[in-house]
Amino acid sequence: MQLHGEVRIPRSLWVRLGEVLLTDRVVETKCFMLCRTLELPGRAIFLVRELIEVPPDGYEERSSSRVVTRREFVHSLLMRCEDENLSLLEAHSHPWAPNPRFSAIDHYSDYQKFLVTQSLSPPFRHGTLVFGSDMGFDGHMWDYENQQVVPITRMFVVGAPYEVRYATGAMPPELSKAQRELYDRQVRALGAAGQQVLNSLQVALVGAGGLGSQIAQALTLLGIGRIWLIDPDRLEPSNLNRVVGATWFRGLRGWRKVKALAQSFNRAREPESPAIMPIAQDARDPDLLPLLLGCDLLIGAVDSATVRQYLNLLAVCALIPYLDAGVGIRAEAGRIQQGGGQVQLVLPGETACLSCVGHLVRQSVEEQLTPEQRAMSIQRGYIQGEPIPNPQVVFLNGVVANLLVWELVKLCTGCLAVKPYVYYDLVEQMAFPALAERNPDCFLCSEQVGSLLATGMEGIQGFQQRAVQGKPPPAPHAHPASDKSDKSDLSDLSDNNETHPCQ
Amino acid sequence: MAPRLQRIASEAALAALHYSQSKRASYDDEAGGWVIIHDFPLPRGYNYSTTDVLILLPPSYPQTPPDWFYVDYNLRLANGLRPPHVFYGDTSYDPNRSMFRQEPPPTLQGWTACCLHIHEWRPAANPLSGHSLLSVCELIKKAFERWRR
Repeated sequence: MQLHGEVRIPRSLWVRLGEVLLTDRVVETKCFMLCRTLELPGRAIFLVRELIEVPPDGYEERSSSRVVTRREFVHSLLMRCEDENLSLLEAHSHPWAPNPRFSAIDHYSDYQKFLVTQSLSPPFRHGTLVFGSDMGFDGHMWDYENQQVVPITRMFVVGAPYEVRYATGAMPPELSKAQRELYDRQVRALGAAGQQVLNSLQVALVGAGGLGSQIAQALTLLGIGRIWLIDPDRLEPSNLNRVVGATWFRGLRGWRKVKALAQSFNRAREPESPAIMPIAQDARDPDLLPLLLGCDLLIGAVDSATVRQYLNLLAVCALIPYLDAGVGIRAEAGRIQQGGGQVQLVLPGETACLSCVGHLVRQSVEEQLTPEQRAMSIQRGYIQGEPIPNPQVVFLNGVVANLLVWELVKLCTGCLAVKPYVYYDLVEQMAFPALAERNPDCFLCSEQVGSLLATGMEGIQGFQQRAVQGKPPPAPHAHPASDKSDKSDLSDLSDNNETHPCQ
Repeated sequence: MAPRLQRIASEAALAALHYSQSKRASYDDEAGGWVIIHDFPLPRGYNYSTTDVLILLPPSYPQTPPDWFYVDYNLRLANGLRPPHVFYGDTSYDPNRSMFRQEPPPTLQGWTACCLHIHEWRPAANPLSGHSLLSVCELIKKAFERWRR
């Protein structure tokens, strides 16, 4: 499999890139992007972290047909790359025409540069991009393992709208006649270009329960190119009231949910191009990491706070949009008291992430208690012992699942503005956008030093399920008896066995 | 070193600076499963003037705060009674058992569990700007003060 390159860039940096490159349309302009690189099978993905403009005195030569930066300027950037494990993308403009291609001079000079800078690899990657007057691009990078120049084919602008831009000459084929017929009514609503985007998307959908099954069904019908449906659970008879696509016999036989749904929903597609690829594993399984990081979009439809946190982490570290949905009902004596659900769109670096919102704290704590902590917590009444099944109804799942799918369509086709956080109130029958403010200091997604935004694999390491055993903590040291004890302080001590929460 | 471990190392160092009489802390530099603040000063009213404090970190720390903390099993109030919210007899804690797939190491001895249940948690990129082990230690300090009464 020949290596190819891709670029993921936050929209704010993309907008700035356009301003820098196309302000002067008479002469060529150059700038640099400092990136982390995700190395996946057959792909190297540049995650853009910082845009470096070239100051006027940083140019050695600049005209309408040639642009050269001073060696010292580039050298300082390469030093940073080496110190901070970064990769380098060079960008220059051909500002007089759209659909740019590299010139013969570009090809020659890039090849010479790649030969020199490969001494920094790995993890260093070096690529160059040329942008035209429409911000169309062509790109290539150095494959240091095979000593050849390989193309950079796609650029993902991570924001709203979520744009997938293709290099000159690398556009995907247009909709086939059969696809145009199949999606005719949809194209009338979303446009042919929008449908083409949906058809090209690779999505990871984690959760194949009441909510996930409805999302999977809608995505299949929409024409999403590939849906990796991930859930380790098996069907049970009690699922059959809400898991669409499940059947009575598959429920009785305990089929894997993902397999049952894939068999049902793929019937809506041509047999040779199934939409759903079932994966009966925990999404946090390290084996699945390359697949998740390589997807264009992540969707979480799971109860588990730790799985949602994990997907949020991957999204932020690898610059992948993440759509998260959840539902809940509070009922007493068989009567619904409250109910609803929410859809949150995480656009790393653009909108609030799950950590900014911070509503998963207690659930996440409880899911990660050790057995002993859990036993103590149950004993003291801090958490309930036997888990009681939550009320679940198909109609609530259906509403929230389709709210999520609608946000996905808006995000990827740009047909309307997205709502980053939508709440649905079941009792009032109202869906409304809610405020989800970005935490400017968020340790995950802020632009502050120390955040994990666009840090790639390095940021994810340490949060994965651990394959190696850590050190056990040593026993406490013996401590000297206090010489300042004051027994009068203790005279009003009443009960040493309190059980109520203290913090 | 992965950013999570770097973060834990720097938070442990900061916590030692502010909450250890001997300015010492140690941590699990392989998996980030725990931090010990050595010689955590105790207020009047305890049988020790300092104690080691063990904080077990959940695998998704700092996304998720720790729950419970651990002190020396022999810690008592100065009058010999047990402080409230310290659960003697629950010392067979093995922090690795729930976090790793391999068989657990021998049971740890010498620690006993204390209540700590955090509901609000907003970690920042800079540990000094949001919740961190410093915030946890501050809660522990206040708990020690409250429990002696």
